[in-house]
Amino acid sequence: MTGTVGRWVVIVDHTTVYYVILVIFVMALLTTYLIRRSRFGLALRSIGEYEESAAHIGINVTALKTITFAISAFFMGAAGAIMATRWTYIDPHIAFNPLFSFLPVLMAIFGGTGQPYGAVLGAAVFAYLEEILTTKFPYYYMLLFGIILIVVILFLPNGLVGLVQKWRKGGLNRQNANT
Amino acid sequence: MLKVRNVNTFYGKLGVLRNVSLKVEEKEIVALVGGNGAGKTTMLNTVFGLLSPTSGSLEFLGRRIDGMPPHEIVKLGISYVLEGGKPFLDMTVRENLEMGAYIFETWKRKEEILDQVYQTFPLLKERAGQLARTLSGGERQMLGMGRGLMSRPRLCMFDEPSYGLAPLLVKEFFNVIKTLRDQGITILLVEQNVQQTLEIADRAYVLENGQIVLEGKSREILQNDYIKKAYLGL
Amino acid sequence: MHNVDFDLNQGEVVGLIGPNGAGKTTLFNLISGSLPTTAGEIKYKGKKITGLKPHQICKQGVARTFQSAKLFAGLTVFENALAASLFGTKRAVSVADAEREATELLEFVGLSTVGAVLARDLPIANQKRLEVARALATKPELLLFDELMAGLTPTEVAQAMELITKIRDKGITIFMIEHVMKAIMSICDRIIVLHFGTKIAEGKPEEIAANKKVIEVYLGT
Repeated sequence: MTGTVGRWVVIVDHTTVYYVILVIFVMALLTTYLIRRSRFGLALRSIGEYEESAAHIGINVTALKTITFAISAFFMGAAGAIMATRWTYIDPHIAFNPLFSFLPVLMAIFGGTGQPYGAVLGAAVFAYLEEILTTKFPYYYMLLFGIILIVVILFLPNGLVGLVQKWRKGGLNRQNANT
Repeated sequence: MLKVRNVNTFYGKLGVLRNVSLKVEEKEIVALVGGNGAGKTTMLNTVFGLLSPTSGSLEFLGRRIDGMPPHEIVKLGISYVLEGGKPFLDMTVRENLEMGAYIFETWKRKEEILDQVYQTFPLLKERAGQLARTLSGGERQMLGMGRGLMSRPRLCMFDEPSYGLAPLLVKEFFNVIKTLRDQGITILLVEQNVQQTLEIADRAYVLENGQIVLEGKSREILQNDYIKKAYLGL
Repeated sequence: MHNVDFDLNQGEVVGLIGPNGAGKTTLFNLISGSLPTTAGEIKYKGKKITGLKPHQICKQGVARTFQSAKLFAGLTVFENALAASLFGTKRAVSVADAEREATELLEFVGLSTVGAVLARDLPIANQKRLEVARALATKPELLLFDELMAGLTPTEVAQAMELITKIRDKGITIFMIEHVMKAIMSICDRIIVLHFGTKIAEGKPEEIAANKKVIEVYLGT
């Protein structure tokens, strides 16, 4: 025992990392797809619509929320484990960095909740944006990120999914409401 | 006082009001009755500026009001009590009432007006410090009415005010309506409780599927055979 | 709530009336588990249910509707009923069975033609029907109706009364909060009256209608 909290991590070559992440990604998508079509999925959607009502028709809300969180954490944990090999050194500060915890949520919101492809789209665009911004504007990228996020939340509250849905519905429905 | 002429209002492509015309004269109590989904609430929303009519015109005290935003309409003297009252749940009863007097002219006199409203609704005075969230459905309804009166309106519109109220309160409420009219306020009442509404209203319009199918003095409408069967369950 | 004390017998249809703010919905919330009791207990079929969570009480056989329909707005009518069929009973149900039951229930309440419609797009009378269907899907023995008739036209009220009678005939005990006197007086075997959180009267409809205190605080003359 070294007495420190950090650890050096085994180095793994990039190709392996890539394939492992790919497998995790596919598994996550598959799980999402399967859950969505299952009883469990219906229960989750019910909780999302009206939690109190869901409890009153027999759904154990606390238990289901915990299980969902656990499933989520499983994939995150797996992804984190393989990503750790890229950084070669891990300590609690890095592992529990609030930014890393927050970014996936941002990606999901950016992409649009409600459809699985939203998170995928959001993450892809986000990751790409991050790369571009950090290289082109190393000093301002945080600010630009923030601005983009505000713009998206203001004008596309349903994220990119909302944009796709609007584009699909086509044309403009004559809305007469002032509000 | 209020003239609605050939108004058509749509929700997207759905025609909810079709060629509706009605008028409310000063110091009248006019009722707009009809079943669920007939378009009654849409009518009130159109008058109040929450919806724009696709065609037709709305006039209040001689001025065109179609297209005007709600806050301007309030300033002109129209008050709208929503179905269920819809008070601000995280504010107290008193704060809700004070918000009703938001426009400048009444804000100056809000204490005085508040006393008057408390006289009309003593239950609200009792619960003045309570959060609206803690009120029952019927009490929220009452709060909504009180709030609507705080702007000292010339015309007060009520959407289903008897919804969920105990029979005693319904009777008291209809008495309040009469008192308000005696105080000089004109009333437009949208209701499903056809019997009691027509008993106090001067005139009424019957709305079905977005169109006016019957209009006239309430007494006559109460005698109408079709109305008796369809709305009074007789 | 102060010292409210009463029994419901199997197969009865009992009404709960009282002025606004008397605590009627609060009482329902205590029974269904939405609210915890501070003192006293609620026993269902001899078992204590105070302190249980709503989903547990539901599985015991107590179902309720809400004053303002708390439907799953973004789900279809069928999905709403299906969810209740799948999760509302103590015994696990297969998806196929649940789907069958949901279909039957939608027919029972008169919603078979709108199964694919989103709950949020339903007119109010159908929303109430769906609330009833969902409650029934959990196979209750005791059903609590909270102001089912509010906002319904006289025709719709008559239809609702028919539906309640059909439910009663299935052997389900019914406890209903209502302001629509016509309904309460004709269907209920007994009526309990609440005022400021206490029980002020209990008895047959005729007795209640003649009760001075009830007339004074609730019915009016």
